[in-house]
Amino acid sequence: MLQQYKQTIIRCICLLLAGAALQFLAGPADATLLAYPWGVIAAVNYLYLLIILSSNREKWQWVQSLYNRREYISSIAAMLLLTLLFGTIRQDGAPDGLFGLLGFTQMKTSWIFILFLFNLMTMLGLRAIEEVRLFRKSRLPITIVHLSFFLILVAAVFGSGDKMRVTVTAVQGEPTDRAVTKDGKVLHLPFTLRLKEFSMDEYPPHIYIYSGGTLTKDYVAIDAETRKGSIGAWQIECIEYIDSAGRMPGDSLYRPMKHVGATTAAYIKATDGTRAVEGWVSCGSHVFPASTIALPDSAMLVMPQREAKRYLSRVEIETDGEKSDYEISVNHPATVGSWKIYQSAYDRTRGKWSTITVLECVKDGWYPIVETAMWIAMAVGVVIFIFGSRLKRKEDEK
Amino acid sequence: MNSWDTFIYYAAISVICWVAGTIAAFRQKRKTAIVLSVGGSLLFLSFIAVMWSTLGRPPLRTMGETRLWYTFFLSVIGIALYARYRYSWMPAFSTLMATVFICVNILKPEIHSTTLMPALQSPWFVPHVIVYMFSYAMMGAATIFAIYLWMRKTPAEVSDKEYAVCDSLVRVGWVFLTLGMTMGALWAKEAWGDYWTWDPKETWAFATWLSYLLYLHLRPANRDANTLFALLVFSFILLQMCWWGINFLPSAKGASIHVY
Ligand code: HEM
Repeated sequence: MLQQYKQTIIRCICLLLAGAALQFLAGPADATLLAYPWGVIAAVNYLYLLIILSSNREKWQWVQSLYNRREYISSIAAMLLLTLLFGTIRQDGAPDGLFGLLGFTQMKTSWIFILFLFNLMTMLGLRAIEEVRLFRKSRLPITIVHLSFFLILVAAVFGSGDKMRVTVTAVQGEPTDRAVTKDGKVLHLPFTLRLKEFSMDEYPPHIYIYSGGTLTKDYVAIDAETRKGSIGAWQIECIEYIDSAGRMPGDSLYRPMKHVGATTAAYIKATDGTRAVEGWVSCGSHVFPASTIALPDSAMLVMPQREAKRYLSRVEIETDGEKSDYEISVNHPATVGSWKIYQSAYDRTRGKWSTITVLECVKDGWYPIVETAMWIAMAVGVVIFIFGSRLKRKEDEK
Repeated sequence: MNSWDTFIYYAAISVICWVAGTIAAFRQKRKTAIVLSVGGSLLFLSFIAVMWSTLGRPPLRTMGETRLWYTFFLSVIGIALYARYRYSWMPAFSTLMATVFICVNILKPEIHSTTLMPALQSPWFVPHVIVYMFSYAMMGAATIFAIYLWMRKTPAEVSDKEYAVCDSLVRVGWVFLTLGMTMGALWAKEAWGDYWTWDPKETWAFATWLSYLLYLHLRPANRDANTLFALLVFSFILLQMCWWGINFLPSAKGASIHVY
C-alpha cells in the first residue's frame, strides 16, 4: 500500500516544502504579480504547457505517471485537507505560531494552499484535455463538467491579479471620480459619479421590551394592518401611528411631519392585566431623540431603528462627456464599461435621510469566462441529474 | 400571533401519516404506504405555503425555516426511494429523521424575524436555498443508507445494486451541491461584486463539496466498504458544519456574513 503511494506522497511533500520555502522567502503570495498583461501571458503559457505535456505523455514517463488514479485522488484529498484547515484556523493573518509561519492564518495568500490548488487544477486540466482527445460520446457530461471547472479554476487563479475593488463615497449633488482602495490608496476612475438622490424603504417598526440590557425575542410589528400583539405578559396596543413624525421642542406629542429628519412614532397602550401604561415610543432620528415608555421593574418599551428593506441611489454617471442615469441598489448593480457599481452603504446616523452614498466599483475582466463556465456547469449538472453521468451505452459499462 | 403557532398541528398530522405509511410499508402494502406518506408530505408542504404567504417572503431565512424544507424533502426522498427500490426500511428512517427535525423546530424554533435584509432580496435566494436543502436531504438519505449497509451483516457483502443506489444518491446530492454553490457564486457577484470570497461558510461548503467529489472519484476503483462509508459519514459531518456548525465555530465568529 505504502509502496503504491510512494510517488504520490513524495509529490505532496515536495509541494509542501516548495510552498513553505516560497512563504519564507517571498512572503505571502501577491496577486498583483498577475495583473494585466502578466496573468494572460501566464495563462496562455500554462495551457500551452499542459497541451505539450499531454501530447507527450507516452514519451515521458513522469508525465505518464501523473495520469495514475492515485495522483488525482490525492490531489483532491490534499485540497480537502487544506480547505478543512482553512475553515478551522481563524483567518486573521496572525504571523506567529506554526500556522502563522506557513501562512495558514491567511490561507488565500498562502503558497502551500496556492500550490495545491494549482496541483488540482493541473490534474484536472490534464484529464480534461485527455477526455477531449479521446472523446467518447457516452462520457460527454463528465467531459464538460471537467472542462468547465478547469476553466473556472484557470480564470480564478490567473485572473486573481486583475480584480479591482474600490470604494467611492458620493455626496449628494457633487460629482466625484475619487475612489479609495482597501489599503487606502486614492485612485481616479475613468468616469464621474454624481449622487442625485438617496432613498430608502423601511420595514414596519417593531416594538420590543428592553430590560436588563437585552431586547425581548418577541416583538409587536406595527403597520397598516396589525396594531396589536403581546410580548410576554404585556398586551400591546397601538392607538396612533405616524410613519413620518416630528415633535417640537417642549411639546409632548408627535405630529405628522414630512421633513428631513422625520422619525416614526406610535402612541402605545400596554397592560399586563394589573398595571397599565401609555405614551409615545419613537425610534428617533438624527434630529429627534428616541422616546420610550417606562414599565415597572426598570423595563421599558422601545422601538429600535427600523430595518432597511431596500435602499437605492440614483446616480448620474459621466463617461467621455456622455451622461446617463442609473439606479443602484443592493443586488442591482450598474454596469459601466468594464466596471460594475454596487450599492454598499450610506450614512447610518441619518438613515433614510442620508445625503451620502457609499458605492463599490469592481472590475474583473475574467469574470465573463467564470460566468459562462458556471452556467455550462449548471446545465450539465441538470443533465447528469436527469440522465446520469454516463450516457447509457452498453459497451461502455465496466 | 403568527403561523408558527399552528405548526404543531400540521406537523402532528403529517407525522401520523408518515408513521402509518411506514407501518404499511413493513406490511408490504406498497400502495397504501405511498399514498399515506405522500399525503403527509403534501400536508407539510401546505404548512410551508401558509408560512410563505403570512410572512410575505419565502420562509428560507432562519434555521427553523430551512429545517422545514429539509424535513419536507427528506420525507419525499424517503417515499421516492421506497417506491423505486422497495426498501421497506427507508420510510421508517426518513420518518424518524423528519420527526427529529420537527421536534427541533418545536423546541427551538428560531423564528424571530420576518424581515429580509436587502442582500437576500434576490431571485437567486429561493432556488439557492431550496437546491441546497434538497441536496442536504439527499445526502442525509445516502448517509442513512451507508450506515445501514455498514452495520448490517459483514460489509463485504454489499452488492453491486446496493452500491449503485448509494452512488446515485451521492451523485444527485453532489449535483445539487454544485448547483447550489454555483447559484450562490452568481448571486454573490450580483450582491457583493465577487463570486467567491472564502467566507467561512463558503470554505466549509467547498470542503463538503470536495469530500463528496472524493467519494465519486474513489468509487469506480474501490469496493472497500470501510473506506467508502467512513468517507460518506465524514462528508455528512462536514455538511453539518457548513449548515449550522459554523455558527458555533470560533474561527468563523464575526468573520462570516453568513452567521445568523
Ligand atoms: C483532479 C483532477 C480530476 C481527475 C483526474 C478526474 C478524473 C475523473 C475520472 C477518471 C472520472 C471517471 C470517468 C468515467 O468513469 O468515465 C471522473 C468522473 C467524474 N468527475 Fe472527475 N476528475 C478530476 C476532478 C474533478 C473535479 C474538480 C470535478 C468537479 C467539478 C469532477 C467531476 C466529476 C464527475 C461529476 C464525475 C462523474 C462521477 C460519477 O458520476 O460517478 N472531477 N473524474
